[in-house]
Parts: sequence; C-alpha cells; structure tokens
Amino acid sequence: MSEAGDQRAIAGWLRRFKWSLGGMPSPEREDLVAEVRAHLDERIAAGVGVTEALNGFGTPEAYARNFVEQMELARALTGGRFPSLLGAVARRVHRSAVAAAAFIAVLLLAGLAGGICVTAAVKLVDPVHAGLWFGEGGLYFGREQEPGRMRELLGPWIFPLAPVSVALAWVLARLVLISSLQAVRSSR
Amino acid sequence: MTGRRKVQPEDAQSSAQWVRAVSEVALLSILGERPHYGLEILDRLRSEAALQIAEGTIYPLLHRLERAGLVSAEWSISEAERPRKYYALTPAGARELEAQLREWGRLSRRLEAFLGRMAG
Repeated sequence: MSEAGDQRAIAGWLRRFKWSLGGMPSPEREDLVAEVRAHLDERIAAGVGVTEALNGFGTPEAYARNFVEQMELARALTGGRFPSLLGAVARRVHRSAVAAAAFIAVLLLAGLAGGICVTAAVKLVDPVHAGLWFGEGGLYFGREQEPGRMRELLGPWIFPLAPVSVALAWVLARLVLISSLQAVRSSR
Repeated sequence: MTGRRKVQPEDAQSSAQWVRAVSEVALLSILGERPHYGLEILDRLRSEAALQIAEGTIYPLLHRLERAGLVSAEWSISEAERPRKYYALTPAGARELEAQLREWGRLSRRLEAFLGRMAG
C-alpha cells in the first residue's frame, strides 16, 4: 500500500472507531481516538505494516464496544438509577449467565409485587373472592371461584401489604441488579 | 491416535481469562516502577512477562483501571517525542498492587507445594 493509501486506511478505521464511540462524551471520545492514532503511528514508524497494525485492534465497531460497555456499566453503577441498571443488565442477558439470572429474578419480584397489587385492587370490588388463598390448590394470590374450599389468610391486611411488597421488590431488585453488574464488571 | 488435541473454544476462553487476570497484576507492577504509555506497557508485557496479549487489549484494560481509580493518565506533548498518554499508579492502585502481589504469592506457593507433592 502507498503512504497515501496507508493514511487513508488509518483515517477510515479511526473514523469508524470514533463513530462507534457515539454514546460517549466528546472529550473522552477524542481522547481515545488520539491515543489509538498515536499507537498506530508509532507502530507504523517502527516498520509494522498498516494492515497488521490495524488487525491488532480488530474491527473498529467491536473495539469501540469495549469502551462503550465499560462506560455504560460505570454510569449505571455510579448513578444507581433503576432504569439504567435494568437496561444495562437487559443488554447483557444474551451473553452473561449472571445478567440472565438477575433479569429473571427481577421479573419474578416484579411479578410477585404486581400480583399482590392487582389482587388488592380486585379485593376492593370483590372482597369475597380475592386474597391470599391456602388449601388444596396450594398457596396463591388471586381470585378464588369457590372461597368455601380454601382459607383466605390476609383479609384486609392485603391493602397495606401491596405498597410494602412494591417497596420491598424495588429494593431487592435494585440490589440484585447492582450485584450482578458488579460481578459482570469484575469478570471483564 | 496420538495427534495433538484440537484447541476447544472453552480452552481459548479459559486461557483468555487467565491472561486477563495475570495481565492486570503485571500491568500494575510495570506502573509501580514509573509512569508508562500504552505501547510501552504492551511491549513490556509481551517481552518481559511473556504475555501474548492482542495489540488493542491494553487500552480497554487501562481505561477500566483508570475508571476504577487505580491509575491516572496524562498526555505528554513535547517536540522531542510523539504525543503519548502516560499512565501512573494512584495511591489506591499501589494498595491494589500490594494486595494482588500478596494474593499471587500465596497462590503460587500453594500451587508449587501441590505440584511438588504430585511429582515427588
């Protein structure tokens, strides 16, 4: 490759790299590009071929993903906001067993709290059939067609329990998400 | 058949994890001497620690350590040399290095004792 061709190849790689770092703050992005450019320039000045030097970094998109994911993890953990934590875990579900387990645990907690809230709401209009039932069918929240064959355990206590279950589920889910992201970060 | 066993994907993954763990302590040790720039660290890891790590691996690792507060970075721009970003250990990084070296020593002593027992 000619010198002009070399420069074009490097410029093209760096342009795609910078574009793939799109989610990062501009100064950080510029800094990364400058650092990789300095690295490539120095390698090439030492006699390494452009293709070989670029191959050492892989595709610009995959290489940028390393930094974007690091930033995303750090932001989610530092900010501690539930949607960012959940988003960061959800985006790793397909390639991390820890993230997948955490995501399932959060869904179960949300399902349980949601079920209690819905049952409490139904109990307002149908106090006889809705509640926490125990008997032959096991233990469950919901609506029972034949209340005579089951025992209702909570009665009116389901009303204060509903907001408490939401708060508890939120706290537990947040803990699960933070722990799983910390585990993902330390395994990188 | 006595041919060499084909490298399985799980072997490569386990090897990558091993190299990653060793790279971190080796990198912190290098920075424990004096500040270095990325390429210099990479070359030392390859030549002195015999770690065959990919060319681009060094910057994600350095940036992760920087985010964790274990290293700090500063550009050096002078007419005498190319612009380079130098990384140095922070006090937290020095403590981490000490802890990792202690752990490394403990593990290697146990492994050495185990292999000695097996061999003897």
